[in-house]
Amino acid sequence: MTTTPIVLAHGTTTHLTDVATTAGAVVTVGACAVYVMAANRLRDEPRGWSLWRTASFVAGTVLLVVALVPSTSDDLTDHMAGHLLLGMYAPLFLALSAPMTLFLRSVRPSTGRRAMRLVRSGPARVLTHPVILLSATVGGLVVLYFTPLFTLSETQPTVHALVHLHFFVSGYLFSWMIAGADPAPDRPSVPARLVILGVAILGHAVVAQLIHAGLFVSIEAPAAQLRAAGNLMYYWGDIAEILLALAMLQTWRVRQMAGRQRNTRPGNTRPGNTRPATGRDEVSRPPIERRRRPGTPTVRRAVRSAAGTR
Amino acid sequence: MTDIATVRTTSTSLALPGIVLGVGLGGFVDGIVLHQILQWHHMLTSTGQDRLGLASYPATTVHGLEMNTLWDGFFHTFTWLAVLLGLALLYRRLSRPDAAARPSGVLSSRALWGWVLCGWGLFNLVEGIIDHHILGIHHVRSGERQTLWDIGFLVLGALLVIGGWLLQRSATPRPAADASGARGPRS
Repeated sequence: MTTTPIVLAHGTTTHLTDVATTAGAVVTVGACAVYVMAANRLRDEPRGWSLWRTASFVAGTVLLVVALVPSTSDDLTDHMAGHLLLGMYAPLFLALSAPMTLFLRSVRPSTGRRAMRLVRSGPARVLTHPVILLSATVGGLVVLYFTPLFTLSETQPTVHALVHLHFFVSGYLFSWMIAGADPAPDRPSVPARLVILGVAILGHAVVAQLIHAGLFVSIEAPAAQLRAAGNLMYYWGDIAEILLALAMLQTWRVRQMAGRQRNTRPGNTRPGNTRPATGRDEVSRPPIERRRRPGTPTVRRAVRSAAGTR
Repeated sequence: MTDIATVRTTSTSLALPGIVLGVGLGGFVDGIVLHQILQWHHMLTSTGQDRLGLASYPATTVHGLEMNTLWDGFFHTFTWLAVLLGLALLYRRLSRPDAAARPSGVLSSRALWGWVLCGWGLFNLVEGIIDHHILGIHHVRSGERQTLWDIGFLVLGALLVIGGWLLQRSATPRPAADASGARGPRS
């Protein structure tokens, strides 16, 4: 990554922004250390933990830290690159790393149950409703670039930090809803998710074009910078969205699995299982939830038909 | 024998979703690399010398740029619709009771990526023949050598179709896959 996006320091760097940046970086790196340690512990278990997931979390952390490095540059394109990393790329990698699943498998069952109650609670469900998430991600862009909020965030470090927190949290929840490896209580069907993704893409592209053209935006920047920033948002946004759509391919059976969670407790390794659940086998293979059992009816039918032909 | 027959069916069943997805992704390669990054052309950059007799919309004037951006936007919409439609078709194929491919393993399926490459090649061939040769509304790279660039674009398309076709044909079961029926044939 050659660009050094700005997070808290557009223009002047104050003591407060230094503290906020350092705190953000420490929290991020700390979370990564906890994840790697927990994943390492699970690798000794028969079910293991996919290295891909760990790699995905580390990649997400690196992108976040890059986005959090303050830069003295005042260029709008640097700012845009930071937002792309913060709101799209880092969340995608983190959502694919299944942090919630790792948490549930690492803590005591009672703690896990309490956490799940929280995830399934009314307010959490409202907050993670697809329409709310869609308005949060796309609406957040509209509010930031088309109202005085952008100018305000340039002068107020606290506002700026909150804007970035919003970018990251809404981006993470959106990626999790569309393609996350963690189960979601109310995840919409695949066709519905494709429509939601389509609407988000449309919103993102329109905002990028308007910034490119300098229409309706309230950003104090030369036209050339607006054009470059809009361009960057347009095609790097496309690439992130393509990756998100393809990530969906990788995780799109998890929903059906969620209902079968009861049979997947650790230690429930049946000896007669057709697939040996060795830790070594785990390494090259994506998420265990799907491969340990001949899972879906589709696969079971395939197994049966394959057995019948021999 | 039955195993091979099953695999052939699977590979064919991924043809339509793979091709539609490939057309969309191929469109993105064109849109992102040629339109956005290299800026070699936009949708209407050779209008004025086209075969439809359109007015000239060069990317060097504000009005021309506006029209190009508008038509690039239509192109962008088309490529996204192709990607999303391809994914929807793929999901439907994989949800069918007789689907032999594991839904979550499809991302590493040779059959799918073979058909995606075919779709990308088809995009180049169709877009190239219609926009560059028949209508002449833009060329890959305008200038003295534009015909060479346009032909190169078609050759790339043909190579992608052939390569993709061979790749999806190679999606046969490996000996190891026979031993564990649970994993199913490599598709």
